[in-house]
Amino acid sequence: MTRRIAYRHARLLDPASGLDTVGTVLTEGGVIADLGAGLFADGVPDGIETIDLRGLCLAPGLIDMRVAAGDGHGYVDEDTARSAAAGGVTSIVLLPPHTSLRHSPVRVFHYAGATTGTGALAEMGLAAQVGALAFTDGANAIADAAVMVRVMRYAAALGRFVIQHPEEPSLAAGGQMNAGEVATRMGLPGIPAQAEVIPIERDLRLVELTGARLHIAHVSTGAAVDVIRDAKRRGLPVTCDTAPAYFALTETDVMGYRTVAKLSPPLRDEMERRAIVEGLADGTIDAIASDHQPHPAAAKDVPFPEAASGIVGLETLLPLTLEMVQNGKLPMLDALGLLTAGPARLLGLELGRLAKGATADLTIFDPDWLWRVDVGRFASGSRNSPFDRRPVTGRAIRTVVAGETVFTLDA
Amino acid sequence: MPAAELTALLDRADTPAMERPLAGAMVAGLFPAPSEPLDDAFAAALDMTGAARAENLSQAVAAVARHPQVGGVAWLARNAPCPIVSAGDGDHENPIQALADVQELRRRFGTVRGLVVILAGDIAHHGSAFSAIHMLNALGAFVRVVAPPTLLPPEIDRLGAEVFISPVDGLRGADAVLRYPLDLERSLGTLVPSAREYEALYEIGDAVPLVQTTSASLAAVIAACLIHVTGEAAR
Repeated sequence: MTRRIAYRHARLLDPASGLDTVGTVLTEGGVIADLGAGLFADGVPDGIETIDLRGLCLAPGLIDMRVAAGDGHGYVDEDTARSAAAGGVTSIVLLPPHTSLRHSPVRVFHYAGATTGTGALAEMGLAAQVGALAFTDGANAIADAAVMVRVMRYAAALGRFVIQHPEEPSLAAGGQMNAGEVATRMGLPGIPAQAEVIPIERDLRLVELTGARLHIAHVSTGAAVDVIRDAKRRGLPVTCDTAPAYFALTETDVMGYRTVAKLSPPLRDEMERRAIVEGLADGTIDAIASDHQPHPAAAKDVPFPEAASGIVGLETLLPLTLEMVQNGKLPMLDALGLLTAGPARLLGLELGRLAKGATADLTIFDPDWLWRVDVGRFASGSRNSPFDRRPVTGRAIRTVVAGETVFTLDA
Repeated sequence: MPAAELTALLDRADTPAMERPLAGAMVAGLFPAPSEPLDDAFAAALDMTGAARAENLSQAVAAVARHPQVGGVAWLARNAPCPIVSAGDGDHENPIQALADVQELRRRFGTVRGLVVILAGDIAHHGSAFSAIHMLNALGAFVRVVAPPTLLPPEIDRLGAEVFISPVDGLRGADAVLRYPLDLERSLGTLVPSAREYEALYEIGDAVPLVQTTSASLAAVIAACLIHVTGEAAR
């Protein structure tokens, strides 16, 4: 018999429908059979398991649309999916070269390469046949305009979109952090904010030319947000995401040569950080992705210019997003929408909503749990987080994928 | 570094009769690329302090280190068992060279307070220029940088240096010049168009006295720094 579970006394939060009420969700096997404030008001019938959530929040399972499972140089973190579950994330989308993870408790989707790295088109058609959601060169920009035109046309014909890492390579060459006073003080070559907006402006013109759908990954500057906002007004099929580091940290977090805060794009200044928050609040930014990038310790315990870029983020994605709710920048439903309905919509996935008949992927979290990030207790096999020791509020308590609990916080 | 600490270091470097305070101790010198001036100065500093040369860091009470990458000396200092004196951190700092330059200025003018000091040439690729900007500001000098824009890091003015592209304007009313020679091989065509254009437009004449550091003053500064850091370590 199909397993039926009633999650009672939950604050039901569904960004897609605007639902925010105390009530019950009934799952039957892998789907949501029913939900609402009045459901089982007179008691739960026999044969249904009951989980009393005592007022905890229950949201659609979080979707992290940008996750790397390894460093691209042979290091693979086998615990990436476990890290997702521990962070309340029920679906991840892997960057190439990875397409799947062994024994994953969460749903694993993937992108595929757009080019071979030498300017030739990758086998996008074959990749689409095995489920690639979109095409991207990952942490490398598709730099050549003519190549980008071919990638866009080819992807569009396959009904897929293109994801760009927005960085003009010639302006970013050798750059170690955001250009400006802090970089000059630290003696590190800088990457100007213009290196991000220039390829975006170019690619938006190429969208006009090709009609392809374009997604801009991890925007970190106000200029990028501005041109994407304008493009959306003009009706261009463009979307974008950002990562928590770009609204929670700034370039000063790099001071002391903290390689753990070395990212690509680099952390920017406070004005840019505020512009990202603004872009999230006004809906220009469609999704928040962790941009999870595991590295072995040895890749970060080196002089700054030699250190790898990227941070692990699956287990800090939810609390850092909730910081914007606590400080009044985003309403709760909008914040959760950036982690659920937002990415689901742009990825074309039938996920990320609480509704009758919807997939029973659920994230149950305590929005008021004050804790301190401790990389030593991460489920991830990697420890490269600049958020270590940061006090945060809000924590995933239980993660449900297809009706089955895949993580509970034992604390 | 606060002015008082800088002054203490400079005073110590100016005191020639030192009692070989590090006799019996060992000091390491970590210089990845061979540099004759630095090697000579280090050897002289060992003589002055009485320290012996350590072959590895575990024997050493302190080390003088240069690292080719920015942040490399900081990384070394975090991981080393003894204090590290930075003899160059990428293109970003070179405090001992800058200290020697400042010491030279102090000898010539008595004090650096109120002096107008010109830093001319390839500022971006000389760590000692960055270090000199910080030190001269701390000691109350007025700092100007004179260089083509391609040899100036962004927002260098925020560090406390007035920016001049033209030597004619920059040199007006100046007291002394510190010169940072251009590495033509790495700069021609990318940072400056040609040697003759560089000479014609940006070469500093001899209207303002040029300050040049001797190997002896570099050695004295290294010795002073070694005594300083080992004293701190003992405390």
